[in-house]
Amino acid sequence: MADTLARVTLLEGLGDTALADLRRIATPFAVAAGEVLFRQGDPPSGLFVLDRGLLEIATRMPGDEEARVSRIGPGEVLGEFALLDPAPRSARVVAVEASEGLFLSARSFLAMLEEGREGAVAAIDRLRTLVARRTRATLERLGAANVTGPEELRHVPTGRPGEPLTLDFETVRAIDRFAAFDAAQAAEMLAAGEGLALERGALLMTAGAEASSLALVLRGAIRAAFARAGGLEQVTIHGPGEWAGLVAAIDGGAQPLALYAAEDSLLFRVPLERFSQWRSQPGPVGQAILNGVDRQLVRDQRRANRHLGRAIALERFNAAGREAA
Amino acid sequence: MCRIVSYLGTPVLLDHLLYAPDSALLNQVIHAQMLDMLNLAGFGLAAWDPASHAPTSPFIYRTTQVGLFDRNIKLLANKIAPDALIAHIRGVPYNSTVQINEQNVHPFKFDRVPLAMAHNGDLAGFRTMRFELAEHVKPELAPHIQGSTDSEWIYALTVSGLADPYRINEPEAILDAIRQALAIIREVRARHGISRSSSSNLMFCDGVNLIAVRYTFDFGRFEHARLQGTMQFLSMWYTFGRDYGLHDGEWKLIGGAASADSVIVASEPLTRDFSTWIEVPEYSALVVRREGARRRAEIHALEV
Repeated sequence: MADTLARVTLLEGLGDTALADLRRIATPFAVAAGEVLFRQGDPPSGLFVLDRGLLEIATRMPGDEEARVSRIGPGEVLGEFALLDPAPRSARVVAVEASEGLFLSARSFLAMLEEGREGAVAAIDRLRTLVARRTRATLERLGAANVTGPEELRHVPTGRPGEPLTLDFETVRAIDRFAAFDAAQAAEMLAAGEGLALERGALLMTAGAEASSLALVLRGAIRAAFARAGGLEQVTIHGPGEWAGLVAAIDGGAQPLALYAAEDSLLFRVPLERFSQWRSQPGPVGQAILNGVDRQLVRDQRRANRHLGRAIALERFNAAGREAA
Repeated sequence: MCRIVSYLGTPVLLDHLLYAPDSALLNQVIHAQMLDMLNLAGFGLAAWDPASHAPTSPFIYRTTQVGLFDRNIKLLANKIAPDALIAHIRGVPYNSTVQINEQNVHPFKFDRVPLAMAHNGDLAGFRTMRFELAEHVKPELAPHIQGSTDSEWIYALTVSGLADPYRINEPEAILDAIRQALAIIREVRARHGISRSSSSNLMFCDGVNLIAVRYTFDFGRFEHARLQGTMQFLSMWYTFGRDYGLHDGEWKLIGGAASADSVIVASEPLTRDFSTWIEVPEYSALVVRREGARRRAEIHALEV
């Protein structure tokens, strides 16, 4: 059991010090077949690392149906949102077979992260990549599913490209998360990127493009969408305080979605290299930024899942209506 | 800011939507889950009850009382079982400039016009805009405007966009009228240089169709930090199934998508556990239409 952490794919290649940090807060857990590990809506207690057995993740749908999301086997982790975001559990997990492994409590883990311990900094960055990849996988499923009706598609806008501009501290401090920044911290953040003004309809990033930057929305709204034959399928809207282009910036892949200004917008664009420095050596400014990034990664994953769930549920609802008619 | 619930399906006791679930509409007067304010400025509803006299005309109720304290609606809620409903509690800024009167209580429904509407949000700069909006309201409908809210004007603009507002229209015609009303407002805002984020979440029902709009003008554009209601896109949720009621200790629709015949749409879920609820996407409308005994639901993009 002591080597469980070393065998987990997520933590592969982590140094001895980092693994030792994590071992210090790990406690064993065990559930019998049929037992519920946690329920949708439960407080996010922590991360489970599975050593033996089989667990099933399920979520509820309208009409009180349950949809199986995935199965988790030995060497995999689950409940990872708990370390990134304080929101309640988004799915139910039940043991298909008797299962055991290690549990990392969110409280202990976040305390370690605050101390800047190597194990926590390295592990949370692996989790970011894991969540970003899962979001990408959901988006790919959505792309392939093609269950969206034509009435839901939008025109491809043709706005003018953005204009760079100089940002002041107050614009940054208008975002809740950065309201407590002093002048030096706001200056440190602003030095990392550039301001960008986009008119409604302007393109920020193309789907399929290689990630070279990401952009924080300061004012306005950025639409993230798929290009379909006949128009754009909106997946989400990024408002003030959210990053556009986050999934690609984290997992290093191509932009999964096209990003357009849904309203006149003001952005703070950060080159990928600078963002990567925050990830490996956060510091107080970097940590404030990453706290927001972590929550958004979870939110983006939930929104992608909901979008898929909604499209499938509506399709079934209407298909059943057609059969009954 | 306000809270709304709407329903289209098999008859359901009003009490089960207004009072019974842990986050039922009237519990949201003081304990809304997704809005950090009290909704004290009145309560109103339009309920189509198939067992009532003239079932195509809704039963209308409006009061400026705090909905939670209104004993009349509490008693009526155990007698009325509508198959279509819009109910609304009004939340306004906490100051004396707001006009609290019955004419400002939602839902709005002009005489002989079947379509009713409730609004969640507010239009920045409405006082300066409204004179220009007037020219887009049909002359025969303008005298029906009795209150002083932006909401009633959005309603007047929408029904003015219907070729025949005095009949039950197809959802497409209602959607076109909604788009036209939103476009007029966007244009007048631009002319007056109004760019502050303004929410226009709207619920329309005529007893046959239900249309829920999730739309904000200039979302995310605010003048001051932490301005109420501008950092998050106001939400709109829906769920579907059959036999809405208390099942296994939980208020919910059951039966799965395959046997669903009823839809609840609301500005927030009626239960603290909202795992069976789905969000209407931003800048979109949910259209629920009758298809015989069944319902059909679609999401339509709103590009205005």
